[in-house]
Amino acid sequence: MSKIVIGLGNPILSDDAVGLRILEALRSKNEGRATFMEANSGGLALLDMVQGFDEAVLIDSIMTGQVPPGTLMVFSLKDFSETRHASNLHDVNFATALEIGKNHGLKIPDRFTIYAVEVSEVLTFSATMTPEVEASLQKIISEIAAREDLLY
Amino acid sequence: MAEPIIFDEKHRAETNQITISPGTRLDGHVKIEIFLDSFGNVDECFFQIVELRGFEEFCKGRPVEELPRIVTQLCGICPWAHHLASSKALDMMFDVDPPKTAKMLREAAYCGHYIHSHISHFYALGAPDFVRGPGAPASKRNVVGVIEAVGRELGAEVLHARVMAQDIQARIGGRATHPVFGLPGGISKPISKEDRAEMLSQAKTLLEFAKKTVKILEAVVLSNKAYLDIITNKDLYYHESYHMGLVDENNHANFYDGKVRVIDPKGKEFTKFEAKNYLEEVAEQVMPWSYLKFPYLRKVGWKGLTDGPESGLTRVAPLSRLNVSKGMATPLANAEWQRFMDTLGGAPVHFSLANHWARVIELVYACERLVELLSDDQILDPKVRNIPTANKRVGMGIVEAPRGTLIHHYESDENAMVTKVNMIVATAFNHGAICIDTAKAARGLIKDGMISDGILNMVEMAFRAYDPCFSCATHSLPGQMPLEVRVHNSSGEITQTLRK
Repeated sequence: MSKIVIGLGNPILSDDAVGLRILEALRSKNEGRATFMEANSGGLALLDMVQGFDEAVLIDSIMTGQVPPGTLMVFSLKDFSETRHASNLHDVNFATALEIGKNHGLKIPDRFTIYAVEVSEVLTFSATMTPEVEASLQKIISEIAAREDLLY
Repeated sequence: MAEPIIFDEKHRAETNQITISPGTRLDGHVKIEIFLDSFGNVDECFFQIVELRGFEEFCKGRPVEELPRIVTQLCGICPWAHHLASSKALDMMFDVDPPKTAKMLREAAYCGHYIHSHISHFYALGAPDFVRGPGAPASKRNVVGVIEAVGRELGAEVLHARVMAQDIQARIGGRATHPVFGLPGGISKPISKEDRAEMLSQAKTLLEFAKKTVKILEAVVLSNKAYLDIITNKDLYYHESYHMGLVDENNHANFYDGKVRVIDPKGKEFTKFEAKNYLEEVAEQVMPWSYLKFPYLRKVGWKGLTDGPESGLTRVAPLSRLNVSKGMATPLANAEWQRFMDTLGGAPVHFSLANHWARVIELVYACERLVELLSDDQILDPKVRNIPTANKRVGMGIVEAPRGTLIHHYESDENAMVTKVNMIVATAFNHGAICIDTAKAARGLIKDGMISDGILNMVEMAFRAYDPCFSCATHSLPGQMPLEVRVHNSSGEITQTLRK
């Protein structure tokens, strides 16, 4: 089973970096156990990345305003709610990209898991995250590692 | 192929204030507020943008040579434009001219970026309005609807073309989306013979795809009289403005280098300037209701959101680049430029929706230019950098982003640490034009309080023509940007809100 783990976000936009921070932590301990890639936009770019893999894991930020910052949410494609970067506004959203891929005979992963971390500050350029999200980081990384059978 | 649906069924607006938020099929978060008078006709229309903060503060105190990599994080849509404007600003700051091969490789990679960007805009953002029709159900007005209508083979070709264009960017720039190769005085590495051969083959395939795109545009849009009537309707998507764009020494459009040429609304050259003189030519106006500034021509002056020769507003983007040019530097693109001008009455063309056609002509040019650059053996020269030895502490760089002229201006201290960053981006230049066009389209389309989803989509088409990207315009970053349209009555109360 081939697996790709993709962290999405902007490294210099406060909490928006959380997907990339989690990706780096997982990558450093799991060389060879999966393919790890970062992405800054979604849509067709994500389709390019996931095609050919059996399994895809996306880690992104989300702003629902309904749970405390630092809360981890898990989605499958079935109950997927758009995270901050799953869509690329210069082409299509992720669901549409997958539909296009399937229609054109591309091998799309059988299993998708989308991890989304609730964030609070994505409007200010900063290389640091808010204290709430930073404080939750280690717990989130260990939970994702456990769920995905990765080392941490 | 089914006939496109141009006008759908209207219903009476529930209130006299219409808000479209967020705008769809663009990059960024915008809101359109339409105020109706007591007769149900449009009284006022505002186009508003959400902002992100603190980019300049983030950059201050950092080594200035880090900026070409930092600025690519402003936006996932046109990082290449920022990377190259930044690299050129550092060339000036460190007083060093890159070797010819470095310039060629910067331009070749940038052609790859243009190809990728223009294909995405045309097929995913622009074409859905024409292939399925502006009044078609929203569920069909997207790239899937386009592929359904035009054929699955085309969908596969679009995907393949994007991948090839990205591969070219990655081979030259180190990374496809966020390049890391631009340095003061050149680039970080030359290319191999193998890379050159592979990219040349890809470029030739892309050129064939661009020619096919010209034919699709012809079949779907230009041969449909109803569309031509909309495009050339002076009561909808039309205003007479100045136009701005980079040109080479022959006054042919150039994406990477040259001088900025500005023509007046009649087509006469108004000014031509280098990056280092931009402050003498361009000023910025702040309006209380918008986060995004309004750049204007300093020597004409700020007259508000109005067109004509007395207003300093100037448009950028594909249509403007074609307008400021005396033709294109490559044969097929030049023939298309001539056909464009002959069909639309000659330069300057002020019909805003003509941006879509102009974008396809630029796609042809980018492919032809890429083939040209990669066919030249000079591109294999291993000397790709001149080492800088001076620090002039001020640097300015200008390129044409896919959506128009982009200016970067940096200042540093004696240790080359950043003290000032200013950027004027294409969407800011077009901000005034978008406001004018959006309001004009709303006034032309909404009568007696009658609206429909298709009518509101046609209001959105006014800004979509410019391929605006508000993430860097407001120094912000896009997520899923929703669009909301609010309708206010003559008392200012919100009577209806439509969201997408």
